[in-house]
Amino acid sequence: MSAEARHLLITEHGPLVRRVTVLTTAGSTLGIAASGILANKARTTLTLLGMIIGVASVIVAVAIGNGSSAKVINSLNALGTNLVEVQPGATFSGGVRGRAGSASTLTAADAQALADQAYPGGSLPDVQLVAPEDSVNTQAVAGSNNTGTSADGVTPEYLTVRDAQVATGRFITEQDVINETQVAVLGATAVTNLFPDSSDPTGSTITLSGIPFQVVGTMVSKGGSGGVNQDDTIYIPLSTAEFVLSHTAGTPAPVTAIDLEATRSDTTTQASNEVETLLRGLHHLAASASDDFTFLNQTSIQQTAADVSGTLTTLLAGVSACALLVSGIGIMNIMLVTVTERTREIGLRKAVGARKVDILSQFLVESILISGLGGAIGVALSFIVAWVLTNVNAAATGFATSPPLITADSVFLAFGVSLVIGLFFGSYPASRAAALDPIQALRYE
Amino acid sequence: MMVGQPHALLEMHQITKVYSMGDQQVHALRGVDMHIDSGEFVAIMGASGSGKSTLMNILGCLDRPSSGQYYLDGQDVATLTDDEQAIVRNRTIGFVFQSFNLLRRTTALKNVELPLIYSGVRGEERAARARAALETVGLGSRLDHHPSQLSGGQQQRVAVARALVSQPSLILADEPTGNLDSQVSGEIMSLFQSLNRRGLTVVLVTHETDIADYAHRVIRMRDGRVIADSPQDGEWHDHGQARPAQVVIATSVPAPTSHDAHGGSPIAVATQLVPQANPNSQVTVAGEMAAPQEMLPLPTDSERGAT
Repeated sequence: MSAEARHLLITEHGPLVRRVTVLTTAGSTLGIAASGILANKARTTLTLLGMIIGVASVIVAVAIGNGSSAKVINSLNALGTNLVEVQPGATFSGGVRGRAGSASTLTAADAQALADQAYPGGSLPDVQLVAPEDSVNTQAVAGSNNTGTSADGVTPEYLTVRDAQVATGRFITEQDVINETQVAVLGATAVTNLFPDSSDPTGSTITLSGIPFQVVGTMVSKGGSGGVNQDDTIYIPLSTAEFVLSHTAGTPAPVTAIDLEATRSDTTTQASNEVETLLRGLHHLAASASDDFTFLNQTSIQQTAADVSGTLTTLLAGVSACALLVSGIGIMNIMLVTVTERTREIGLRKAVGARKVDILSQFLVESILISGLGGAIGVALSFIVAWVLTNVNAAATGFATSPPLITADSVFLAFGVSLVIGLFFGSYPASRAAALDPIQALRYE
Repeated sequence: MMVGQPHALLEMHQITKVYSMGDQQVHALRGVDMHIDSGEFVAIMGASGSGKSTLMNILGCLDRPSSGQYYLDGQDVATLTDDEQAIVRNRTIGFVFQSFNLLRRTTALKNVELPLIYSGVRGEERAARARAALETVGLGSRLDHHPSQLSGGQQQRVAVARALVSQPSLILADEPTGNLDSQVSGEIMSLFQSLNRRGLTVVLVTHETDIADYAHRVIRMRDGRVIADSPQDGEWHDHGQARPAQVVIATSVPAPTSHDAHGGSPIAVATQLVPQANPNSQVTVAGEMAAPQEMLPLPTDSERGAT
């Protein structure tokens, strides 16, 4: 090509109007970066390891947190989420506040009044069902087996309010309550304790505190939660508990709890407020006096439990995030070494026409490749760790009942963060590389 | 923007370069005027500290002058930004360095492709052009060799191919034979000569007189100034006996033109070189040099657009 022709060509296209964008060289950039990574396998592996451990520990930590909070929520759901429990208020004696439920301020009459006003049409529009309970500690005997347990005097509504299920036979009926019949329905643990050799003791006779009861049914196991084992209970008619078992003299008979079922799980608060107003009226409490009863709202218990396990998750994830941060610093370190090592190469690339952005993207892509690869392997590792925790020696570690729960959120978040870390911690080394003076870089020894 | 003759490839007016070292000011260049036409073969000579390296850096758009004008291919390049300089280097200049500066981890072919990556030439065409450039320098059979598998002379040939591949207006060679023995140096210089015969402008920085002798024009520098600028026409053989291959060339084939003083026919160069060098590579050179016009089967810009 003659000088004139060449000159024309250059003027035509303009040598400074570069049509080459970072995108058109993306394929090459990726190849260059990949070969840079492969050139130092041992070093790359060590750097990867930091990222892998960081990402895997974040995902596993969140999964363990999720697993335990799922367990708490499940066992609380087993109690019934629409449930509002009213217990007799605290007694004040000598300045010491007694345990809730230790006073006898709630009576069967209160329960009846609540039931009368309950949905529909009454002054408790958000209360659907009322189920009083009278729980008595007792000694149960069946043949040669005996166990200390609680006899829970209930009405038929208990089954619905507590979301419980009958396994065999039947539950307490209205008729039982009216007639004060001596029938018993056994919880799963009570069955095991009293009838170790038989899964269906229906028809057998047991004694509670020496009084004979006929077993008419058994309950499906609900699992324990918060130190209360709902299965280690024997259900008897409320009236039988009050008048036969406890020999309560006075009337109205006290109850240990009144369970309410709200119309929906999000109306438990309104239901509590309505019941509070009604009970304060019934108990003739002055406006300045505090309630002589206490609400146990399942939603709030659940919220508290979720908060606790959420805090735990945050803590674990925070510690793991530190590991991720450290791995990012590792990437920055290794990239700085790489840039120094390849100073001459950078000089050469600049001499043959690499712009700042070409060099910058080459090293950025390299660090993002390392961190992204580490992130991907870390995600895979987290699934393996979760599987091992669930399946290997799970009984000993306690993960059998609350297996780690890996969520898509945490996977995408951890992987995304690993890419961002590569970008963030790679940008300083990459910009140093891009800013190198080609003359000095070419002379670098 | 245009200054001087339109065919001037390279024109410098009162170029100075001052480095600040603490309180001291070092004047590396003290007003250099230079005019190099397209197709010339120029050697820049000088002792270390004469400013020839600084001049080389400015010529190669790796550095900017402190004052003065520099027009390359009609373009004022003295005031370009870093990225604009990179584009000029990519399109207009091919570099050959003393230490070859090949990427160790990659093949000869990939090394030669490097400048094309930065001009946005895509895969297939890039490889084809790099292959053609390697064939031009006689390494058509070494495409997949890594630098460590090549001799010093072969490595420098790869570097020359890399300088050629983007079809630059100007080849800048900085002590290209500094790391080579005298025989291989002769081969590399012959390669530059043959490229120059095909119209490429070659500017060479060296401190060795017998290397400078291959050029048609020698610019001598001292203390940041040009002290001599003289055409030369074959007085190189006065230096004598060191390079038998070139002696043979000169005596066997008289210079056909005044501008091609010590070249002789390419065939003669090649055949005479064969016994003294690596036979494989030289045979390839001979085959290529038999048809100099076909040596660079590189597509033109319009052809490139069509593919």
